[in-house]
Amino acid sequence: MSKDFPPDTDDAGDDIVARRRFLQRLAGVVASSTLLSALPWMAPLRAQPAGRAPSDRVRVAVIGTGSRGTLLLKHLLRTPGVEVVALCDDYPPHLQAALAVAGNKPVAFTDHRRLLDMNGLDGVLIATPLHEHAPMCLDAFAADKHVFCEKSLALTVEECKAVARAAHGSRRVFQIGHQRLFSASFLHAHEMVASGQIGNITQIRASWHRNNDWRRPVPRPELERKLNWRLYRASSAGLMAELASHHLQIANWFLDAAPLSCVGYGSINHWKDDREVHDNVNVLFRYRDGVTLLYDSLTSNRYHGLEIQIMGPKGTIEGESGKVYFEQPPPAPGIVRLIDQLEKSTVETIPIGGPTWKPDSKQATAGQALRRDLGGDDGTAISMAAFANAIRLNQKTPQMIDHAYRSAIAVLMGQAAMDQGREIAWPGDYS
Amino acid sequence: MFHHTFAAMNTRFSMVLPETEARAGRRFAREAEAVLVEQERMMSRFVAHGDLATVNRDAAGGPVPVPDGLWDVLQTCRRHHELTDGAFDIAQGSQRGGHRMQMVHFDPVARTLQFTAPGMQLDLGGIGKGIALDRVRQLLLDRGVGHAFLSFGESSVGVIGTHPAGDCWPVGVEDLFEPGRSLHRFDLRDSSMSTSGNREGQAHIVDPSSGCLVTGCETMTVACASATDAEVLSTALLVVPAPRRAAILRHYAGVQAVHIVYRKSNGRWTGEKDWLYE
Repeated sequence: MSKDFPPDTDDAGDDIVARRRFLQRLAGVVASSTLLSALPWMAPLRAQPAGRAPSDRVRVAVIGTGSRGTLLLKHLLRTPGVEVVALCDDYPPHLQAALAVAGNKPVAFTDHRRLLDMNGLDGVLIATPLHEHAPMCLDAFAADKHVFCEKSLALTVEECKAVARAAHGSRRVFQIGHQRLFSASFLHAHEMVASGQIGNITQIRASWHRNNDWRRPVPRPELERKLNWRLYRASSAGLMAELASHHLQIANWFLDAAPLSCVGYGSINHWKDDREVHDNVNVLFRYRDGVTLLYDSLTSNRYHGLEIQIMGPKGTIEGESGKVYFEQPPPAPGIVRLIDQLEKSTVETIPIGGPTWKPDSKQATAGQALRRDLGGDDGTAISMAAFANAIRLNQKTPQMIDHAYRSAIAVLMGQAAMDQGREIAWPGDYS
Repeated sequence: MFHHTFAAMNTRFSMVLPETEARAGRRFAREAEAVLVEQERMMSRFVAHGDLATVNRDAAGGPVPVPDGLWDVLQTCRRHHELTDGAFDIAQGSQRGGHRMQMVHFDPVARTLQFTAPGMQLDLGGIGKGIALDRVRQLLLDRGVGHAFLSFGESSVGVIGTHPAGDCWPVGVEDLFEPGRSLHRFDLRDSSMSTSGNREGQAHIVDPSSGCLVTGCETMTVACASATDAEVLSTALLVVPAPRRAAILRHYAGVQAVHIVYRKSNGRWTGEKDWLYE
């Protein structure tokens, strides 16, 4: 896959013609790669992008047109064979802005239940505050719609189970907004792990550090809890849901398991402004065979930034920066040349010799690059194409429900461990 | 063919065994790794409870017993110190210059040593890889390997037999500024080659007569039967002026050497053979 994945010179991001061409080539790559074909959520991408016939089109709506919803909308507008027929938001400024982005073509709604009654609607994309995910997903499945839900899946364990069960029982497609499932560098990293190149994973370390205030300016005081929904427990699971969930999903995916238990400490030690969610979270997850995931997140310092390190006895993958570091050094170029000539039974002078080679320190080492993400796309553009194709094919990908469920539950385990000051066990599967 | 590269003694060790099956090769590689781990434990200053580290820690306070393996290594170092007229010296100290290895008192009956000046340390960096490489080569000879090319950090090379398609292993001294280009060639058969020197801006080799670091971008490469001798000589010949080199080499048989000096002109570095001994 690593060498076959379409080069990112062919911009996946900008115009619909370029994206169609990119998706055409991606289809060929996925079809010819054993490893990619083995990932069920990649399967819809084996289909060539839809033509321009009305029968090819899938008709979708976006519920929640804040920053994330608008980003999804922009991708959808450039995805071949997708028609955005409606937008829904109960905050008029966001809805008006999103309608303008879509050329005022979609029908506007303020109530998602009204939107679900719309004729000819195939599916919805839900990008609302976390506490609204579960009721909206359940309503959408009840209306027999295909559902794309932004991460994290839901605010409580009971809601996560209910949505996962509904998705499982539905004949429609369900997809979760974990775009790293479609990221070229994470797919390459997964291939490296699956083929044993770093050995069995022994530990994963991940962190997401920022130095920014989550509080948004509010035009009127009564809008505080609506616009600053991330800051309040009734609508948010804080850093665990908004940031950690991505790396919890990677850990569950790469370990092919859910965590057994979790401990942690969290605090509000910097942004003391009556917010209810931690600005400093530190959690430790235990997986089978003694494998651990250490995660921490801050909003008061950005020095360590964003990274996930997947470690095994033979090497380390840094997923976010797209690098791999092997524990054993590569042979010197002169040795590589010697091996080559021995294979060809030729004799040439072996160039070698010089002051002793020293291994790179972690700080200085360049590592080896993974496949870069495509045209600046972190997987979101490809994930929109996958969702559209899955709808067109009416092809469910059951592992999506597991990815959504496991990472959302891990989020809640981490939050509960910090809140309750004790070890929290995996609460069981949804079925 | 079997080949394997692994981390050892803060650098990398490559073994290329052109006529060895993979299964046997893997066994030899495991044995070689074990040999190098043991050699490092014995000779490294940085392995906390290793033999040399223990001596370095305790020998200023009185005679310390020296384990047999390290004792043999240190006697080899003493012999080379004499044969090179002090140009090879494993003793470092706070005092500058003046053949510091003579300030180490060895008691051959009790097998102890003691530092007779304060602030002294022994450093086997100029010989250790050669000793370890000779040990691995002997291991492979004992296992009946007839053809091998061994590289320890690229600065020390040891071979067994010849290239399977030739009558020797032709080994080039690589241009530091033009990788892949060879500035001089040695034809090795059952022998070794070692290179010491500085890359651009580096200085890590101490001239024992003055206590000063050797500066300047230059390398000394020595080929002879033993990797230990080759490593000793590549360091010793680098620190002495050219007229003294022949005198040192009269004590060693079958040695070839080349000194390469790099000079910068018009922003470009060029290496030239400055001295050749055949």
